[in-house]
Formats: sequence, structure tokens, C-alpha cells
Amino acid sequence: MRETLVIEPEMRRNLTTVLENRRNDMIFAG
Amino acid sequence: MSRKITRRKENEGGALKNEARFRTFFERSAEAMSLLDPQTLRYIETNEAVARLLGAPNREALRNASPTERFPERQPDGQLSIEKARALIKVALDQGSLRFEWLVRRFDGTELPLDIVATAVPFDGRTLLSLVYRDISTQKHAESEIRQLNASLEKRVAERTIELSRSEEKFRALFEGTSQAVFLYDENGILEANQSWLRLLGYSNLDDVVGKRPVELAAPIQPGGERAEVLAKKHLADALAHGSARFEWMAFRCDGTEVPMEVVLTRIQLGGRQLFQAFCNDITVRKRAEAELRQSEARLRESEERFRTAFRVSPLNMTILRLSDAKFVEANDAFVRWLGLDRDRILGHDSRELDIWLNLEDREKFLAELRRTGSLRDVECCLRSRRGTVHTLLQSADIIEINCEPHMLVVGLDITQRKQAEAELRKSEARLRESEERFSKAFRANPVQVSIMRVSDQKFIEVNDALVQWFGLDRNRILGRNSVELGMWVNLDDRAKFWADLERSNGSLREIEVQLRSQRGTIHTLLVSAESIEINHEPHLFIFALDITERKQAEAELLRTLAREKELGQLRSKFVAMVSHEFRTPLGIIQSSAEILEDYLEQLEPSERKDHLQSIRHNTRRMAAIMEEALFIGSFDAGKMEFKPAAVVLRKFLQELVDQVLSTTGGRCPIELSFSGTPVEIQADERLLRHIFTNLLTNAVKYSDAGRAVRFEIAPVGGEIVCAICDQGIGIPEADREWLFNAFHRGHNVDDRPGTGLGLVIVKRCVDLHGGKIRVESKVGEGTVVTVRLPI
Repeated sequence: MRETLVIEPEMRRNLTTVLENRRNDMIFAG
Repeated sequence: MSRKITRRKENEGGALKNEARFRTFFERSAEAMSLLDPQTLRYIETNEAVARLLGAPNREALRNASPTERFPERQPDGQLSIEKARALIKVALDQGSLRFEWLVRRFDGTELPLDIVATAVPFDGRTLLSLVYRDISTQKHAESEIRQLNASLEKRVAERTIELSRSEEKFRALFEGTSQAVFLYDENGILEANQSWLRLLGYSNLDDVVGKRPVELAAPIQPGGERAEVLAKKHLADALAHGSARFEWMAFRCDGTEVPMEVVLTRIQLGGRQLFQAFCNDITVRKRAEAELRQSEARLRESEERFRTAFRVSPLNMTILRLSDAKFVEANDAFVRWLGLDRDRILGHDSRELDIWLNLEDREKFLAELRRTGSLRDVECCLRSRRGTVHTLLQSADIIEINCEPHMLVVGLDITQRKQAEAELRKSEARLRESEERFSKAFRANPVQVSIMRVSDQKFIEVNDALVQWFGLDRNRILGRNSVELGMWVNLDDRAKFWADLERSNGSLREIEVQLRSQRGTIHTLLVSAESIEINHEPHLFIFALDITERKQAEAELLRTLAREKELGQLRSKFVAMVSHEFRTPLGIIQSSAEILEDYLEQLEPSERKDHLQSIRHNTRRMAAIMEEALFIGSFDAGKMEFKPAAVVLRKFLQELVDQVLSTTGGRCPIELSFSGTPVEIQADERLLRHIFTNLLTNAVKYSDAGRAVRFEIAPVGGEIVCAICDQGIGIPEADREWLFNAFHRGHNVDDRPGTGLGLVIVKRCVDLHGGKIRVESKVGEGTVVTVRLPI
């Protein structure tokens, strides 16, 4: 039985968004 | 040489010894012997016996004497002794030996007749004569007396003959005329027989019997068992000794028949001859009478003996009582033993005195009845022995006459034991009946099918209700037929195996599972046990059969339940897997979109905010759809789904549905919908149709590469609408086709295509509810065709 988490496009987009914002935060903070 | 001398000496010694021996024998012999020189007519040697015979003073007086000195002048035949002697000596020498009589004069002057044996003896070149003398004076004397007697007898016979010849005529007349059978005979046979005798023996002519010996005319073996020859001699001797003899004689007639006669045999001296006169009396009648008497006596004796023995040793009680006073006059051992009282104390008493009858009225009745009818048979009487034991006897009685006085002969059979045995038998019979009844009840009412089968022809001879009911045929139509005729066996090989097993197991089988068919055609599994039994000396089979069909079904049910349980377990784990996948992904998207909106709302462009919000809504809907599917399945399981047909305008409905799918799949694959001769309106459940085709079309699109057309063809065939959905997708692997309609099951080649594994389950349930059929044909890598047939 498969139990892999499939990274669907929506999820990938969200993750990308989150990562980009985190990087921006760090840039702004740093 | 020296040996020769020795031999000769030895021979001489032997001769000397022989000579001595011979001399002793010669001299001592009681026989008078002498050795004579025939030339000189002088004795060479004489022994003592010769001297004694001749009355010589001693032996020396005879030595060298001449026997001629002792010769009378002439011998009895008148010849001169000396001449006769010379002649005899010559003959003796010529012949070698000679025996002759000779008269000598003894020394005392008396004459002595001698019997002389003269033997020629060669001796020393000469021939001598050995003479052996025997004194025959006594014999000679007797002979001379006989001669004198004969002469006198002859004289007397001659006188008598004259006398007799005178009375001959008289005698003959008497002889012939007498009514008694008479014959005369001597050692040469029958001389005379009178007419009566000839008549008696059936002869017509005297010449037929003259010269025959009486024994020839008699039974060779006489009635006493002795031979006629022997017996005749005995009677003759008797007659000779006593003058006459009287005896019985079995003679033969001339025709060979026997005639018993009494004979008086008288000896008659006639003319110097010994004759016998026999008077014969025919005693046929007397003999017959005697034989009859003897027979009747023997019969009587035998009968008496038989009766006495029977009476004495009979195991039955036997008594004889005088009729007048009913007193015992005789009782046999059995009765004495039975009563337990000495015979002496029984005889002379009656049964009342001996207190034999238990009930005196019975006794009076018995006696009165016997006196009235003279005979009683098997009357049951209760009698008491002296020991006080009471017995039942079967008594029979007859009146018999003994010494001209009427008596009762009573015979009693003690049937006490028989009575007890009968009672015992009755009891045992009752027990047997009871047991039989019990058995037959058990047999009949047994819920197990029981039957009895004859081994020889394997026919049922008894079956119980359970078997009758199970088989569904009248008992009468089962009995007398075998299981093959009744078509019981589903498989005849099973039957052959059953009988083979039975034989192998010595006629006892336990719980063999067989498949049998009832008369109704239903097939049952029966657990059969069989046991050999013997009924009326014939082998039978006792068969028990227990119908375990239901048990078998229960077992199957149980197995099915177990399988379902196992399936449910799998279902649960599949559900968990599905949930982890299908729920986690949209939840992750919703969660991340929500977090982005929350954290970066200010930074986001309005269009981006909108995207996130739509994403949340879309994935929520996605999860809701999964939930919807699960719940939908649940409503099927709960039996809440119903087929509610209504008029559906098929074209319009399907067109809208295709549009909808195209919309939800974002137009990933084109769907080519085609109708051929489809009716405008059909009766169907729109909700079910929606589920069916939405799912099938979505699947077709989902598992096809983008842009590959999906064909959706609808055509009426017979009374059905056939809808085929053909894609050019990944196909369904062979191994997964079996599980196609199982919940949560997905093909192994689905990769990351989302899905719950519930779609086809829903489709199948809906098609079933609609009364239709679904068929899936697929080839991995080429595509899948799903055909749904719905009745209209």
C-alpha cells in the first residue's frame, strides 16, 4: 500500500511561496 | 604219508567206536534179533531177546546153533519147514528183504508163531541175513477164535435163515401193509421200504431209493445245526448200543421239500448181517404247532419283558393301583424317587393315606372320571411329594386287567419345571418383545436415517421414517429396491468405494462422507456408518446416515464469513492507506494555503490571494467528494439506495454529463459522444446513471494521457441500452481485474493519479441496482473498454 505524499502542483506552488517568503523575511531581518 | 596213516587210524578208531555202539544196541534191544549165515544156516549172533523168546537157558545155547533145530517138521500150511526155509531165504536174498510168518518150537517144546523180517546184510565179502522176530501168538490165537466163532455163527445164521424164510412172507405182508412208514437198510444203503414210507417221501417206485443211504435223503444240516452225516452216525451208535434209538430227523422229499419226522431206529440181526429198521412218523403238523407255540411264547415273553423294562426304567412316574380300593400294587423307580418314600411303604396304601393329592376333590374327580371313561389323557394334577414339594404332573390313566381283576395304570409326567420354564419363557418373551419394541421404536423414530440392507442383493429390507422423509418416496417403494435403482448415488464410483471399504473393514464402517441424491433431486451430504448384522442366518447391513448438508452449508457460510472478515480487515487497511493519501494531500494544500494567506496576506498580490482561496475551496470540495463517495458506499451497504426509475431524455442528459466531466477534468481529454438509433426517452434512475457515467468517464480521462480521445458510444441492442466507454489509457493489469469492483482497490499501475478505489465499486452497485450488467475489457498500455448494458 502506497503511503507516499504526492506533491501536487498546488502544493508545490504553496511550498515555493512559503520558502520564498521565508527567504525574504530572512533578508529583511538580516 | 604220515597224514594218511593218521587219517586211517582215525577211521579205525571211529569204526571201533561204532562197532561198540552197535553191539550195545544189538545186545540190549528188546527186539529179538539175530544174524544168520544163509550158507550154513547157522546163527552168527543172537541177542538176549531171542534167547528169551525161544526159552533158551542162555545165549550161549544158541551161538553157532542152527535155527533148523527149532523148526517143527512142517509149517501150518503143510510144507516141510526146512524146504520152506530155504525157499524163503532165497527170496529174501534175491529181494533184499522179506517178511513172513514162521512157526518155531521153543526149548520147552511149545510151538510159537513168529513174524519174521529178514534183511540181506553184506558183510566182509559175504551176504548175511539179519532176522527180527515178533511173537504173534496172541494174534494167531484171536484169529483162530474168530474163525471158530464165524463158523458157529454161520451155522446159526443158516438155521435162522431157514426159520426166517419161513416167516418171510408173513413179515413182508406186515411190512408192506402197515400204515407206518418203514424202511430197512444196512451199510450199503436202503434195502427195503414200504409204501407208506415211499408215499411220505413222495417216491412212486422202490427202485428209486434202493441202494441210497438215508443220509442222502436228508437235510445236510439238521435242525439242531449238526451235519446229517455226523448225527446219523451218532444215532446208529445209539441203536447199536441200546438196540434202538428214537430221534427227530429232517428228511427231503423227492421234490426237495423238507419233511420233519420222528424216527425209531431198531437194529436187526439178519443172516449174520447187521440191519437197521427205521419207523418214520411225519411230524410236520406237530412241528408247526410247536414252532407256533414257541413263537407265541417268545412274543408273550418279549412283550412281558418289554413292559416290565419299560415300567421299571421309565423316567415317567408309573403306578398300578387296584381299581376297587385304589391301593398301589406296583410303583416304578421314578415314582418312588419322586414321592421320596420306600416302595414297601407305598404298596398296599392309597394316595389319600400317602397324602399325595394337594386337593382331595381333584383326586375324587380323577378316579370317578377314570372309572367312567376307562381312560384319561394328560390331566394336570397338583401332587405333593413326601418332601412337601408341590408339583404339577400331567397324568394319564388306563384301566387294565391283571389276574382277571381291573387295575389302573397311572402314568405321570412332572411338568413343574416345564411350567416354570414356560413362565420363564413367557417372561423372557415379554422382555424380548419389550426390547424389540424399544428397538423398533428407536429404529423408527430415530432422527438419523437408519436402514437395513440385505448384503446378497443390496436391497433395502427396512428403512425408518427419517430415511423415508429424507428420500421423499413411500416406504413400500423403497423396500425391495437397491440404492442404484433408487438413483441415490450422485457418483457411482462413491458406491463402489463404499462397498470396497466395507469389505476391507470387516463389515464395519464409521462416518463415511457420501453425496446422495433424494427423490426430489436435491443433493445431500450424508455421514454414513454401516455395521454387518446377521438376520435369519443371512448377512445384512445396518446403515446409519446423518444428513450433514446443513452443517456443510453452515461450514461454507462460516468460511465465507471468515473470508469476508479477512476482506474487511484488508478493506480497513486499504481505507487507511487511501485516507492517508487522498486526505493528506488536499489537507496539506489547504493548510499551507491558509498559512500563506495568514502570514503573507500583506505581501500577496490580490490575484495570488484569490488563487489561494480557490485552492482551499477546491481541495475542500475534493475531500468532500471523497467523503461523499464513502458515504455513498455506506448508504448502499445500509440498503438505503433504491432504484427509482423515471423518464430520462438520454441524449440531453448524457451531453450535459459529458460537459460536466470535461469541465471537472479541465478538458484534459476530449470525449466523443455518439448515439446510434437511441430512443429519445428511457425509463431510468437519473441519479444512478449520473454516478455510473461520471465515474467511468472521469476514470477514462484520469488514466489516459492528456489529449487522448475518449469515445462514449450509446446504442440500443435488443431490450437494452449498450453504453461503451473506450479510452486509450494505461489499461488495467490482469492481476487487478479480479479486484476491480472491490472497495479501495486500485490498479498497480496508477502511479500518482489521485483516486479512492471506490469509483468502480459505486458503478457496479449502481449498475446492479439498475438491473444491468457491466463488463470491463482492458489491455495494459492500450486502453480499456467498459461496457454497461441497462435494460429499458
